[in-house]
Amino acid sequence: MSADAAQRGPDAEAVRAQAASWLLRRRDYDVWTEEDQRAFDIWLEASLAHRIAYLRLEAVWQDADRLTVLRPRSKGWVGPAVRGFGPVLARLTALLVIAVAIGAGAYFYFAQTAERTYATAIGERKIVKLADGSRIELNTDTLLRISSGAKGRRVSLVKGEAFFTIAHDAAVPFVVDAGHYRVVDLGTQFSVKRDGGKLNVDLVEGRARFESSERGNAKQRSIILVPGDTVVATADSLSLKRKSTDSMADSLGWRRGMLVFHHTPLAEVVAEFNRYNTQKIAIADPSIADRTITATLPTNDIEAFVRIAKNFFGLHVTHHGNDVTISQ
Amino acid sequence: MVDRSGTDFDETGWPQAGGGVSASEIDAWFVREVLPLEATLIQFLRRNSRNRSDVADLCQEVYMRAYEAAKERLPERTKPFVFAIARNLLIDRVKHEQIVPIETVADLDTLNIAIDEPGPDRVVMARDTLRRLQAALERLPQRSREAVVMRKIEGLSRSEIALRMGITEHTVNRHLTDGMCLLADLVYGEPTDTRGPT
Repeated sequence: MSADAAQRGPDAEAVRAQAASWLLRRRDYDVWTEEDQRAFDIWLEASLAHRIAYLRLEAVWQDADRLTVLRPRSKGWVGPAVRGFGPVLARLTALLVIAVAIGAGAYFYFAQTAERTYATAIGERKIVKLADGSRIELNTDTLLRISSGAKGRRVSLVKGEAFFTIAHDAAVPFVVDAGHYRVVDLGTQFSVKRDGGKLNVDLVEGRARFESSERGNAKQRSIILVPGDTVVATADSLSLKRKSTDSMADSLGWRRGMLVFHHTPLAEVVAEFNRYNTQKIAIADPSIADRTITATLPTNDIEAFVRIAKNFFGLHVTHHGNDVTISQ
Repeated sequence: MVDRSGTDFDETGWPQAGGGVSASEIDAWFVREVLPLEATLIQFLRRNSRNRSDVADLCQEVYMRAYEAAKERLPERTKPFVFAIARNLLIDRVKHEQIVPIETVADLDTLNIAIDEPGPDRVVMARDTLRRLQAALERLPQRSREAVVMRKIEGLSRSEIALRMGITEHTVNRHLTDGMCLLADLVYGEPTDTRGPT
């Protein structure tokens, strides 16, 4: 009976399936473009049934972020669903290394001298693939310049953070300049983060040389970095520490769009979210700034953090304009 | 064309004069107050609908009417408001059937009774969300559960999950969206007294 069918809303099952794939794309994919947003808005406005199905799934899917409290630390998870979870990172790096090996050798791009600038906005991530097979992943709010020529392959990190997977070629060194220091690749995966005068380098795989950029500076000896090494440097201080594989994987969570916190003080959590979002969070009471949180949250999901602040810590959350203030 | 002529809310003191409510306010109200009624609503629809297979469509229709009506002003008491809509919807349906069996008409008189049945307490529900989610997770089909655990607990990306499970990202999507829908059904659609690991 068509009259009866017309009187009903759209097929609930079909709407649900659409809502689920939108939700997945929006919250769990690495890339969400303005175009996606436009298409999503159109879908959302097309029927009230769409909006409702989306709201319903979103509420539960967001709440499911809390399940992260079940995540065991450092030791492999022993639950039935995810037995043998440990070597994820190892497998992934193996895969990347293979990709690097295939790409090595072909560096037409570097044959001529050229300079290109790549930038990301707040909350944006970008992957730059170079013709030689190297790959640079730019994190939020990052600016870097790539040049190549007689002097080899050079990247200048002006600000922000990037993860480098370098196709090693002894004849054409790959150098990352970052203010006072530079990192010279010796067959490597590493990340460099530049925040004002502070520089942070994590070496994931292979070897790299960390050295002062100033040629005449004989006092500054260079350091060979090995996997697990993490360097924190300012213009006049330098420290080298060892990081566990877990903790290194955690600080690289941004590569899959996640922030990983492990007993992290709220003040730091807020600072991290503020790097990735134009919507800013502030902590009104210093007394709550050092409470710690352990969670894995999408970089763009302030809402998830706010829910945790509200529901787990019982904190007070106020919105004013676009911004959020958290208080006792 | 949705016929809303039957939606009168005399028992709730609705409607009253009032301005518009913002979309985000309605969204929040809907998630906070309407969704927790789902288990009771589905029971009610299942008992009173002649065609059990379209309960999901009926439920969607109730939600749409409730949302639409809330645009004017949020109701003070959500539960009687939602169940009045459900009742009116069922009456509309019967009116539009070409053949109305006598027992269906008789049953409609008893529909009010269900409105006063105790439903899930949303305060208790909010506090229980984690436990409900955990229990729901246990009940997902194995592959969906694995994918959801990797995504939500381990925080892996879709490509990492695909690698781990030895399947394509497309299939990961399916496991995740299936998991998403089932979690919502288990969290909202299951009566509260049967929650907990089985």
